[in-house]
Amino acid sequence: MKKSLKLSGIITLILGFVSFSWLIFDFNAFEFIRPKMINFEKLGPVEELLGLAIWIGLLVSFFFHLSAILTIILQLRFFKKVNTFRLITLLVGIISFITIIGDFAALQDIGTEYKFGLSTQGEWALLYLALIPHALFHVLMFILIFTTFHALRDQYQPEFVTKDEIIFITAQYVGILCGIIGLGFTSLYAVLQVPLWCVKPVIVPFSIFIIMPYGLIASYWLIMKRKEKVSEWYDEKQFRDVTKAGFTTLLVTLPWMTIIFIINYLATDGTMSILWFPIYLFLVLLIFSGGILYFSKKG
Amino acid sequence: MKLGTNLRRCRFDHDEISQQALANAVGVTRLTIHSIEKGKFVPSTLLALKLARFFGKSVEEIFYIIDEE
Repeated sequence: MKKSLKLSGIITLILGFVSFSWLIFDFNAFEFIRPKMINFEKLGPVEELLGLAIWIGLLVSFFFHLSAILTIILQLRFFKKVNTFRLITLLVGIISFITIIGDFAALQDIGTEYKFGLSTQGEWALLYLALIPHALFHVLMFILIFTTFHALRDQYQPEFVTKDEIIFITAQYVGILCGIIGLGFTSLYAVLQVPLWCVKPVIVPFSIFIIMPYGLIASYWLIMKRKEKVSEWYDEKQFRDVTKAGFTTLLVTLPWMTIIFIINYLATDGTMSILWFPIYLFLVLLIFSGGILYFSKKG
Repeated sequence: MKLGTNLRRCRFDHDEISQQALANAVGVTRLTIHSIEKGKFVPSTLLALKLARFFGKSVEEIFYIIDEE
């Protein structure tokens, strides 16, 4: 376990340094390209090359985030404690990770709208804003990795635990965050009444991207449990909490889904015919994870 | 009626064994032991028996009924 923790830390650190350098490069590249695109000046080969570099940077950032989130999960399992700093880093990491798809979308929009002579000011603002969670996550991750290396050098011996609760609890925090972001995102589409042709191509990749961190931690938890019988996955209190949360989810989602059905039934525009599922998915995730966390803390 | 417990005292008398060590011994999470001690969670018969066996006591010595008016 210590070995894999060190290895994942080193990989994340290397990727982090590359990704952070790329972040600084991105900021400078934005500063160089933005005025030209806003003023609809003709772009030369230098700008094209910078554009390509920004895309590659996003890919590096994507892999850094995946590696960093996995490193945090490994750390949680090793140290057996929901340390506040580690939890905050994980949650900032998830926000930063989800922002990457916003970067992709904004860059694509800038390219298209520039071609059609439309204003790209809003998209540029989003790109600059996204640099904040990215930079913050990089810094937090560097601190976390260095403190972990320090703890490992001090021959830290974690307490022996037969029944895991750390990954179980952390998964609920991640579920709540993914649920809120997903619900906010899909509700925004519904409230703004974005046309169907605009929603259709983005809703699936966006939803997958938003749910990916929860998928990662849930998959890791399942891998941990693969050798156990299903009846041993939870202890009796966890099982009770999951059951209560499941029942609460049923009670909360039924009226919501009825409202969505009525909206869908009366709507002339077909946007809700697509949005109902992601709304349902994120609502279930939010209520279920929130419910488990509430019942497990309540006792 | 509520369930009362001497679990905290039993741990204390048992070389102040930690919640985690007790949880490991009976196969539950630390949070479950914590909730039983706080009186927020009523354990199953099986878990109550496991706890009693661990401390070498009868179930009634660890758990008791609190009559409420």
